[in-house]
Amino acid sequence: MDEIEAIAQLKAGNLAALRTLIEMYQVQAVQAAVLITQDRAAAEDIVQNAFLRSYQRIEQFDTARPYRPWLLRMVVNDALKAVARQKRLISLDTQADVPYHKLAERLDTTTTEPEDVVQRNELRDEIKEAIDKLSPRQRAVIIMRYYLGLSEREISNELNCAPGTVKWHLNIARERLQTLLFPVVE
Amino acid sequence: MKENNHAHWAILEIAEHEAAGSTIDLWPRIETRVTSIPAEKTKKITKWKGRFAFGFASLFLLIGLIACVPQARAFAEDIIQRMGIAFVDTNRFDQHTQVMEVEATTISNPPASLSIDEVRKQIGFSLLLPTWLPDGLIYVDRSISGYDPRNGQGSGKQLTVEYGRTANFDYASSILFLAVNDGPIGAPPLLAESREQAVTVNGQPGIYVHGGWRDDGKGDPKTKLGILQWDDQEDSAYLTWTQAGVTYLLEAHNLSLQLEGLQQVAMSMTGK
Repeated sequence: MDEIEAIAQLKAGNLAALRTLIEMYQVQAVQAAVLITQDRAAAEDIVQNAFLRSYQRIEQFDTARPYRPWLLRMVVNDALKAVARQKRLISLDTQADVPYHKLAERLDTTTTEPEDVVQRNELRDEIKEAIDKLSPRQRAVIIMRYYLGLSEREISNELNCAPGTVKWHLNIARERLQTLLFPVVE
Repeated sequence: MKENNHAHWAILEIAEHEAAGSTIDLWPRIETRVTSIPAEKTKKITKWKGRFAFGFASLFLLIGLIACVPQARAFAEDIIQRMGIAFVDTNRFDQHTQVMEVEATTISNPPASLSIDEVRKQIGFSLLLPTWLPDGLIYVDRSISGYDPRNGQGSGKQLTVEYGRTANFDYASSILFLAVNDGPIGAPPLLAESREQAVTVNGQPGIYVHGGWRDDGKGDPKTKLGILQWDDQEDSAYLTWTQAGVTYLLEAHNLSLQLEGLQQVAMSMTGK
């Protein structure tokens, strides 16, 4: 059953179709929410609620449009709201100016040597920590751009802000990542 | 483009590390919740039919009175000013919208929750707390905040009580706030004036609002606050009233609560 058929079936009251949609998108949705909220349990709650809301509002859903962006918009917005409520945010200042791609290059060396695997895991943890220190909105923009693969225009539609604002958020987020990982890059 | 691929790879690995795809299976929990929805809906509709008819008739009568009789209007405005909700005249915000980026600050060491005895000692006025909560809700936290009272009204102290599904600050899913003040509620929620409903709470006049703002352009285009549009379907409900000189505000999010549910909570606040 593909997405279009699943939505048609769901509109007809077939609950099995909801399961199909959940199996299609739950991993991406939960992982995006985890990256924004930094809380696995909260992320699963958010995604559960998003699927339930989409189920309750499926009658209003325009079948000419894809389901994934509709679902992910709810997930990202709810994750942002959840983080705002958790009051776990930190203030940001943009500081240094180190090329972002250097970080990624460090991650681009695929190897199976044990010591390299350890180094790689350490670097992954450092990048995770750096992402966690972004503001939730910047984190959401980074996740949508580099994890969900949305274009800047799509992100601006999802977050209902101007493309220039998305570009600004991306630049700030990149700069912040560089700054936080400066010692690692050096 | 190369940068995009690197970054995508890095974030993908982090995502998989944080929540491995093989460990994610939401269907059993969603299935349980989905199967309980239709029964709840039918029950609610039947129960509310008669009450809606009576409620609408009373509401129209009240609106007529407020619109036609200046004394009634002045009285209503006075009550509203004492309540814990700030209404927005959305027509005034259609033009000259400014969007501001706001950064929040970290609260790394939140104050410990107050005991009820500490609340009574610190708050300085008598207050009532609910003895009944909707299914699954438990007490999570109490705090007292101080502020400069407006026009000398009240002591400048406000109690906020939080109830959630778990004690672990699971704000993502469901939460009920109770704000109590002997003056106007400090930092009241900004709601659409056009959605205000006059109600009776524990024999006192009160105000009920259901819905919330959304920023994706899917709300009511006629009710705007800057880029935000009001959506009656948002799962947020507000009930405020003044009782024995104390103003109460109940605020429910993601609880599927409507007027009846909030009134039940209010009715349990008898002090007995």
